Amino acid sequence: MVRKRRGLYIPALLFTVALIAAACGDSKESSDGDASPGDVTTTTAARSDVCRTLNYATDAPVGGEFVDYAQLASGGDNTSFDPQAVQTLDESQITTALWDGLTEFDYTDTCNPVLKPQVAEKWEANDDATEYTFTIRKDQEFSNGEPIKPSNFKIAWERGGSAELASSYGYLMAYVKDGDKLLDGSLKTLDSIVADDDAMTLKVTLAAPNADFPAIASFPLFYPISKADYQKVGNTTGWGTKGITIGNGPYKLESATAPDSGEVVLVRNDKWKGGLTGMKRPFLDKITFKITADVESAYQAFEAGDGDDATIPSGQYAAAAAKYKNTLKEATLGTYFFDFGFDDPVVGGDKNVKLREAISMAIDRDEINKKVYEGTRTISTGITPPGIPGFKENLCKYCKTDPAEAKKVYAEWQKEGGKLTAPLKLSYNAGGSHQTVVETMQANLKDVLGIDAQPNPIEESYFKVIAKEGACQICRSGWYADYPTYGNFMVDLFGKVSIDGNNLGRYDDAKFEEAIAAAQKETDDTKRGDLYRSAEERLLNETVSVIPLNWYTGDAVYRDNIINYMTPPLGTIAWEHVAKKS
Amino acid sequence: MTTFVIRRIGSLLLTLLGGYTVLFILFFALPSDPAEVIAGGNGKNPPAAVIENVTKKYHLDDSIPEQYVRRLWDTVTLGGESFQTHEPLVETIKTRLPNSLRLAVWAMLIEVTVGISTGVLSARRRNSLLDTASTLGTAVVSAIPVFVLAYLLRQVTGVYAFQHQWPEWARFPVLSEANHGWYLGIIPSLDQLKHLVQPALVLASVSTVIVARLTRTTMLEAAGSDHVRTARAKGLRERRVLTRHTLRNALIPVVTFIGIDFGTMVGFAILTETVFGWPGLGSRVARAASQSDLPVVLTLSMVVMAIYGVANLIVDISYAKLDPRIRLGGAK
Repeated sequence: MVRKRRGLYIPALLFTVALIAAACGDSKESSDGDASPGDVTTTTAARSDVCRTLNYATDAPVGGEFVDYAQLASGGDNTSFDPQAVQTLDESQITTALWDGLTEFDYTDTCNPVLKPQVAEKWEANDDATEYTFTIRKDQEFSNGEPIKPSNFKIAWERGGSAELASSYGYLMAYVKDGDKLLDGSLKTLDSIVADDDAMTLKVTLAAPNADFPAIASFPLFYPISKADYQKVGNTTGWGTKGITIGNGPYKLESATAPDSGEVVLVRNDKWKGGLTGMKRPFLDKITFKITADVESAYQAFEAGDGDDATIPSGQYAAAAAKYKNTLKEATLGTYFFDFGFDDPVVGGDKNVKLREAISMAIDRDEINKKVYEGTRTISTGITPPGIPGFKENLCKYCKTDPAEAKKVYAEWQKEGGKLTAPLKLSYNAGGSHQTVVETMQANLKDVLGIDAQPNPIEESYFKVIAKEGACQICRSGWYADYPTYGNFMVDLFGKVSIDGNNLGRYDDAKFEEAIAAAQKETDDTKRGDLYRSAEERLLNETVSVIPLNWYTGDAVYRDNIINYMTPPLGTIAWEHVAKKS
Repeated sequence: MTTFVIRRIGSLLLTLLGGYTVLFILFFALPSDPAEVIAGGNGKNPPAAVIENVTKKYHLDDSIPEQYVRRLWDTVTLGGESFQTHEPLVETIKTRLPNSLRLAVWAMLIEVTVGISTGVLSARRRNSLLDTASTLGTAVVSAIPVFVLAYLLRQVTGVYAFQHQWPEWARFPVLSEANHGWYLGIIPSLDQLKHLVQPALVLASVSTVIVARLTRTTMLEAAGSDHVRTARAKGLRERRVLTRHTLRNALIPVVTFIGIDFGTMVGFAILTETVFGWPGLGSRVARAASQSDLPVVLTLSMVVMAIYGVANLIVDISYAKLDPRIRLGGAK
């Protein structure tokens, strides 16, 4: 799920003024989408709790209204909270309050999430993980009273993959057999999804083995939709009631103003049948999501006594933490790293493994964390963050800052004939805090190894530009999990299938591919985790193709009288648990 | 007069078409691929199949002339919808234009009352302490960027006031809510007034300074003219000299400025609207530009340009009322 760019749109504002002024004739992050705090140096705040237990209070007071200033604090980017069209983590806070999916992760132990059936009663897979049968619970209904049948999932999935909807996440339907034909418009419905409303079963045949599919099915694209709503909206979408809005979650939509101002109001859904933890009724009566132009304004409103939560703006983490309850220690499923260009003639290939080891060990991750994130992020020991099933700490051999070892390995590389004849190119998407990160890396390389490096900011379409052949020598990347599976990191970021997409370093290693293919077929959770981990170890320690830097943490403050406000690793708050003391 | 108005409307339509064409061409000259932006390319690379579907869905693969005509028709009929949010633009205009007009009207009232009265007082008490104070004050206000002024106002009347427990009446909301609390569409309720005051003050700040300075200068010029001296020589009372002879002549350039400025306030209050979260036209166009949302950029820009043009036309007509020497309709 994409995190929104935060901040004001000054260049866009000025550009528009210029455009209109020119037309009238006589008139007077980021960039990447991840949270990008600014350049502030303070003492290191407490590190995130990598593993936590989410113990929700069950005796919290019932009733009341929660006014949120944190989730829609970049209002101009809002496009839809329709489950098949939602793009950002912020908007999906509404989606997940309005809907429940077939499956859901229980994050009671954040480092050992357990995938559980939710609207499904159970699921079964065939031996090679190509066919799944979900049995749907009989008592489920939408907030409009319409019963939930397997066919509500079938129409939702076919809508999600349809060419007409052109959903950003429509490609997930390619996991389903012939799903690619939905995407190209040659099919409107799929025989590979069989909904038996009498037997209450949904049988899905996949395009290839994928043992992660039940986890993938927890993603909003796979949420069920009401037939009445579908008849009204069809394969179109938009903000508010221009999209699908009738859900089956703990809350239902009461109203939504325009996408970039005003508010979205949710009220308790009395037809909700309960969640994973056994609760039958959400605590709050009402949640109002205030739409604001930027994080700074929303936070200022919070400081002026409005609302119950807000996102902390860049550079104010320490001050905010001193004043308010916050989620700064709560680890989420985001990872920040740099890729080495796999085929780059200077740093790529087998002959430069030692150079890559030296570079990785020369980077002072703690300095970056203090300078840029006020010490709030967790120094990563691999790519895949804690909270992903199969995760183990300290996978990476070369992620510890070790100047002496870096110098030694660099000298060995030079002795073997390695020589740099031009400054290394550190590419990043211009804006946000990436520049400070890159400048720190540049200084580290010079100080530790004597290597000259040149920051290479890219203004427009960074992810598209840098994914092209030959574009990435050392290039910034980052990822926030779409769904909590190991494959969402390994396949989407480093798989051959993701070259020209999000595999920015164009990593293409046969042994890695073998490992992830085996993992995708493996239905045993433990064995699958082992296989993915072996793939990650190949990436980190044998081919040394990435420089992991840090894992993300929460960035919100909330009032003292708010109960159960916690950020599970996937970032979407369990709104049914949130309560408010009067 | 009728010929003049018809000619000006024709000229306005040509200007609008020119403006539309320039915006349309500039949109296609931008380096980013709109399909990629619409497909959600900001944080990651959307798959090629998704980009292709978006391209087809929004006819971005049609030839440029075809797209030009399609968008022109949608713009003229207000029949388009946002690429990003699918709001029908006619609804966007219905909700946002009144908000922009309300803010502009109240800002203009501040501009007119404070600006003209300050200018007149400064001119009448030339070189007095009051004149010096107003000159300094206006210089300071005009030097503060709108963003900073807005931030300071919010910080003092919102955050500081809350944290120091100022009485409720002295506290102002940090963010605006423009859609509720209006009588007859333009008169704010007491609650709405609290939301309106700060954005209106910020929007009016620079213009008020200009009006004050302009009024002072033109008042001083007019006070030294022959007809004013004659009026005084004829023994007219000073109040009558001031209102009938000095101020009326002095106001001609001021009215010109205010008229043009009104059009500007409606469409170009981008910074004020953005900072205070005021849902008007300007902030919406700005957002649309950053999202490659062509229908929104084109249609709302044309609305803004049309308002600007109409404001100019009204200014020209008002000349004739203020100054009988001016005759509209062309010379013979």
